[in-house]
Amino acid sequence: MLRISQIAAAVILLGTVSAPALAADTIRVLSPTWPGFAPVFVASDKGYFKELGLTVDMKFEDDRANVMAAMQRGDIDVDMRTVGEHQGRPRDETTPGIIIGTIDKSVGGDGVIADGSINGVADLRGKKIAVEPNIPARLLLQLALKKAGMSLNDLQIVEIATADTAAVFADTSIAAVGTYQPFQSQAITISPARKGKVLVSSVDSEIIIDVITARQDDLKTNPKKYQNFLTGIYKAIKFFETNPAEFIALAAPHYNLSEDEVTDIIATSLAYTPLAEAKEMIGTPGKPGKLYGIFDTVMQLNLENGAAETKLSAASQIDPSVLAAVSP
Amino acid sequence: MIEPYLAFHGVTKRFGDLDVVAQPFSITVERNEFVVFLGPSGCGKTTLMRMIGGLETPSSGAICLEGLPVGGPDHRRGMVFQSYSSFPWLTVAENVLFGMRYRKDLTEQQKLARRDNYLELVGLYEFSDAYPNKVSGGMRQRVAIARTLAAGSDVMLMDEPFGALDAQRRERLQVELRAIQRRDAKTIVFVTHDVEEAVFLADRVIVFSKRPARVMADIDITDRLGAERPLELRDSPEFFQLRNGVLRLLREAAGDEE
Amino acid sequence: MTDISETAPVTAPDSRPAATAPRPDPSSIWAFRGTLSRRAQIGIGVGTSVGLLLIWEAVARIGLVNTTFLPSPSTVLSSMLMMVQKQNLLQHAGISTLRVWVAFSLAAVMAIPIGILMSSYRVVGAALEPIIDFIRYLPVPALVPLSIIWFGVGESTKLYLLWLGTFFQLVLLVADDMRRVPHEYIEIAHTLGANTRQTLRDVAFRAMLPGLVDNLRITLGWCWTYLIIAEIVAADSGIGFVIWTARRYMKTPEVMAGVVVIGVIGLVTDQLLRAIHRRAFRYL
Repeated sequence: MLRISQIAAAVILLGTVSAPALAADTIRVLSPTWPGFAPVFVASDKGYFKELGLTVDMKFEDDRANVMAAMQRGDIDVDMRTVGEHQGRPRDETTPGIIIGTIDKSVGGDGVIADGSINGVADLRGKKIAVEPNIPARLLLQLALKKAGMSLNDLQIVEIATADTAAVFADTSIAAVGTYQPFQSQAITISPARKGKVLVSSVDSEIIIDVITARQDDLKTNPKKYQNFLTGIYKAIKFFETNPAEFIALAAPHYNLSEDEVTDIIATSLAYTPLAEAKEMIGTPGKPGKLYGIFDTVMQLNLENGAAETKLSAASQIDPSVLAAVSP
Repeated sequence: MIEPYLAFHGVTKRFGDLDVVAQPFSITVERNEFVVFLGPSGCGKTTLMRMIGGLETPSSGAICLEGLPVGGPDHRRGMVFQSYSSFPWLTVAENVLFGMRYRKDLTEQQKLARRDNYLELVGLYEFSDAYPNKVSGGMRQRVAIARTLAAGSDVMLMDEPFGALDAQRRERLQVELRAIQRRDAKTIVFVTHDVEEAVFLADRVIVFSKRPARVMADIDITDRLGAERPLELRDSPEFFQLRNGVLRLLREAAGDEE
Repeated sequence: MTDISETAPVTAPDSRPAATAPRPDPSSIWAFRGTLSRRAQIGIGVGTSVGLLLIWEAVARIGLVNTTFLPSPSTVLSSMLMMVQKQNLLQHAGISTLRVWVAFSLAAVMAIPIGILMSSYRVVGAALEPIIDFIRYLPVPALVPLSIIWFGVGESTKLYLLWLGTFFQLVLLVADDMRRVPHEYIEIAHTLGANTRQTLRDVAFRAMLPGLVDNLRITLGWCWTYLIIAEIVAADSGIGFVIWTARRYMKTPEVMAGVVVIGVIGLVTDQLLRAIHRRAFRYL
């Protein structure tokens, strides 16, 4: 994890602007700091990748713009993020990155919290709502508004950084905040005076799904490598189902969190997608899965709220061939 | 005719539209002569002296030393400035030694001997290891003089070197400088706007008008006061008389507005 | 002359009217622009810091502020100890220090000659100053995606971002240091027969050195402030990474602990460099 020698090496390399050579047995991943992606760490720690002759190097990067830059340059091979974020601008048909699998789905991990006086999304009309652009909560809010016959235009949207949720929610001029865990629970606890509640939650929706995205050019050259990558991940998810305590003990240090904290986040926020469920989502080359429909729904929402500008087709953004080759 | 030691031949100087010297002018300085350029502030006398040092070039005409036109700066024409005259990061002795740093014709031994000799001459031997900020302003000027002498200057160019000193230190240094010049046989061109200083130090005082500078008067002082200049000379009626005469000239030079 | 005091008694020193303001006691610590012993200065500095910590602790314990936003110093300290034991905090601190020093040295090695040339040769100054002034104002965080395109997501990007935050500021400071070297020094060197190279090396550089070292000390501090930006890019090590992960989960005591570690490193480095400055430039 700590690489002093790398820094020294980088000094020598600084200034040489060349993409690192691709290795047939290495996958470099950038992911947000979210335990939903912990199966990758656990698969590494348990040696699942090694058994398949694969080396996986995973680092954190919350900022999507940076991830896109890295993938554009060929510096990383895999990105993991929600379907909705995947579609965000400036992605178009030529942007590198194609969905090859799912890893987890949000179950309470994303949502909108509101002041105690708000009883439904209809009450938000004309009020100030704080939310970061292109996060899942925005889509959930949009979907809920749609059902009530409203749109984001009926609200006053204030853009924030989600890490500031608790501080923003302490401000009484803000009626609701679109956020994710653990900020969602923290914000409600920290400002008891607001009698805050979860107004909209991903528990009630299926659209927030974290997908695994691969760089097409490398995928084409080394399909077997990605098959091994997915195999390792689903093996780790299986390990979680049979032995959650050990899984959590392995995952926690990667996030500088305690085991209790990770247990809590998983319990309140997410569910990993085991191989069977992933296969159901992605489908096969002949028979598209559930994800295609979700992709189109989310695409529509993103185009409406301006997070995306190019209408992408699910068929061009999902490649079911890799997952189809993975066997339990 | 014998070639003069140092001579301005039809020199003019201009910076952009500003004339330092509009009319071509000529003066000569004898070997071992102490010449003072006296003039109102800003008249351009400093520029004239800097041309001797090679720090400025004449716009026309030439300045010759021993018959040869002077080029860029070198160690034979040393400068002593009013401020920043010694390097603060070197001790008194190191400052003097620095004067010979770029002379390849001297051995290390010779350099050290010269250093000690000139430190002794200006009375700073016991302050050898002090840094300039630890000694008085007068001593710092003596460091600069010793450095210039040690460097082997034939002509010492001094730009109001005592301008920042208090009256007492100033008088003492004037006496010393005159004595050094007599003993060490040096040609000195000294710039000042202080009439008393000019008369007390100089063999010859050259009075300049305000800008653009013209030579107003060329007064032989040694003729009237003699070459020896003890401190008591300042109290003599001859000195007073001469000083007042030069002062009147300078007032004329400065023009009507003062 | 002897009678003056009788005809004008007011001027006698002992009958001076008492209305004049009392002379301030120069030994008082409140003497305007007065002096203070080094020991007293350190004592007062430590005293104020401890006092502030006590007030902070009290405020947090009484419950005047929400401890989620402002945890007490004792909580921060215990988090720090926990982080040292469980999260390799010291190793992270070491890595960050190394990164800062590598990037900073790189910036200094480039900025010093370029800054000197800018002030020594008008052409160089005229050519570079507009560019540097422009880049200097660019927000480094906004350049992160661009630097990933150039340098990838490895160490180079982190070092590049730290360098970016330091180099352009430093270059102008170096140029200023050089410009401030009194022209007299240069002319003295010339009249002693030094050529341009000798003048630069033996006189101009020596003259600018104290100011240069001071500016290096100040820009080293700026370099640290870019650490967070640099270490959240594809991160897995360093204090910036630790702080950012803790922030992601709203662990304010750990965020503060990380910040305090940076502060302590900064304080120690600064005092060390000041001491070196005092020793190296005794002549000032």
